[in-house]
Amino acid sequence: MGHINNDQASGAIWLLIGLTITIASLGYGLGTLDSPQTGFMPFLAGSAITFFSCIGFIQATILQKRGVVWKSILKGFHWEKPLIVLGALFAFIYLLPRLGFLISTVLFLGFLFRVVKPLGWGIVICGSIILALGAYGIFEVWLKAQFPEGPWGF
Amino acid sequence: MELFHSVMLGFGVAFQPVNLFFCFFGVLIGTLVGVLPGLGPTAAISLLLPTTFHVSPVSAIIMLAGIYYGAMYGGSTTSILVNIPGEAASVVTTLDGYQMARKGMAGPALGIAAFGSFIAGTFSIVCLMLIAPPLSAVALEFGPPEYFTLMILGLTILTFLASGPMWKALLMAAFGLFLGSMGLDIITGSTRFTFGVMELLIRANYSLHIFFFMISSEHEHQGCTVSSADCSGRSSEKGAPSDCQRHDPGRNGTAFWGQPPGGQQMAQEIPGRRKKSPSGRTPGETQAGVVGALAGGSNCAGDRGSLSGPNEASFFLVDARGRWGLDCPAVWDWPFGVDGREVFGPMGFHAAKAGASSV
Repeated sequence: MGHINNDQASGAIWLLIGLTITIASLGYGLGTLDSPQTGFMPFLAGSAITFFSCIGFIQATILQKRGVVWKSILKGFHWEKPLIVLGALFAFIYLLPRLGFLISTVLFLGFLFRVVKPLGWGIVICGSIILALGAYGIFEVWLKAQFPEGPWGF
Repeated sequence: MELFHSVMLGFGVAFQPVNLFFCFFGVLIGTLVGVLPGLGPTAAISLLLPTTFHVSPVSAIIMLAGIYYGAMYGGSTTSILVNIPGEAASVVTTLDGYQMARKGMAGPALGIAAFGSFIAGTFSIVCLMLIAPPLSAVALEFGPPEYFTLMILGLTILTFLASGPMWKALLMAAFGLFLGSMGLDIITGSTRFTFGVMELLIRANYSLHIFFFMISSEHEHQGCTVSSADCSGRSSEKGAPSDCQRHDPGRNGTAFWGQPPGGQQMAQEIPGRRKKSPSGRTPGETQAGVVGALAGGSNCAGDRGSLSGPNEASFFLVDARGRWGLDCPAVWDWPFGVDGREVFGPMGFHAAKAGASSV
């Protein structure tokens, strides 16, 4: 990455994405302005992405000649926690219908308490169980909301 | 005079002890649900809707209102304390509120969230009451040209949000258009860009956007500063408006932002949050963690906390085709629409007016 700068790279990537969307939307049919077909809006969006990415790429190229160089995109960017939380959420969604609300919520909360904000095991276990039971008691028992049930009926 | 009588009638009903109880109960439960990260007012109302089936319609509406406002305020609590927005409207609160919490000012952040919301909400409600009668007629006239104009308005709002090169903001707007066009084409009924995934049929929901906003708010942690002058709400320049003054709903006009159907809460908050100065942006000043921006973006827009002006308007303004401005009012309206009653929207307003005149 010694020769191109960040905006050149992102401009090139978005140019590729825009062209892909534009070309793919042609397959859905554009129709006419009076009677647009399914591909009309994606075609417009793809064309706009292509256009703006071209502008960005040209601007970045001009800036490159003025000495703007590549900078690390991960510098000062806390990407770990959002990624961990997102992964945990996907796992929670996957486990919810299989293990039921109570167990999957205990596991989810325990994971968040231990990994995202490292706490002691006692707090992790007690906190996750109490919170999950509290939510289960309020919503399932008291308010009769219907949560997914696991093989053990809760 | 008629307006005054209507307001007094409403107060008379709302201040009945049983209705006050249901209001308190709704706010309490709504706040409890809203504090849970990831659960917003729509989820709260969906979960708690069955609990209103056993009470009178008026009490049910009041209780649902309490749930809604409680959940909205609960969302700001998690946004400020743990940087996790409960719903899309709370995303902007994370940008400033969480920064204040990191600086040890979680209490003031929660306080300004509550007070700013109350003031802006009250102001918006008053505005709504004044313009409701003519607005109900306008709402029935909403058609494709008006919706197109709203789309352009939404894209134009990006110019408020953009802090870097404009081409990036416009590119993201175009990408958002593409995401919005994924799924079922409601005109022709055919699918596009679903890749055989059923979930994509109903289009990318806002969870994806929340994720990106979480990333962007994490990114904004760097270099943020909070000065005591900002938090006192006083201006550092003589004669210049303070942060909170700059963000009051009347000055920014955000009291009216939520009223068109199809408008989303984010569209009200983003222009409300932007710090205004003669040059557009104060040089060398970052926005994150500034109390005025928190008040302006999160609360002077009036959509969080105890009162909610623009979103009240969204409850009122449903167009002739039954299209709601927000998803939450649609959920709210559902039990009343089952038996054919028009409670919300312009038709409900006209029905109530006709009923009152016949009495």
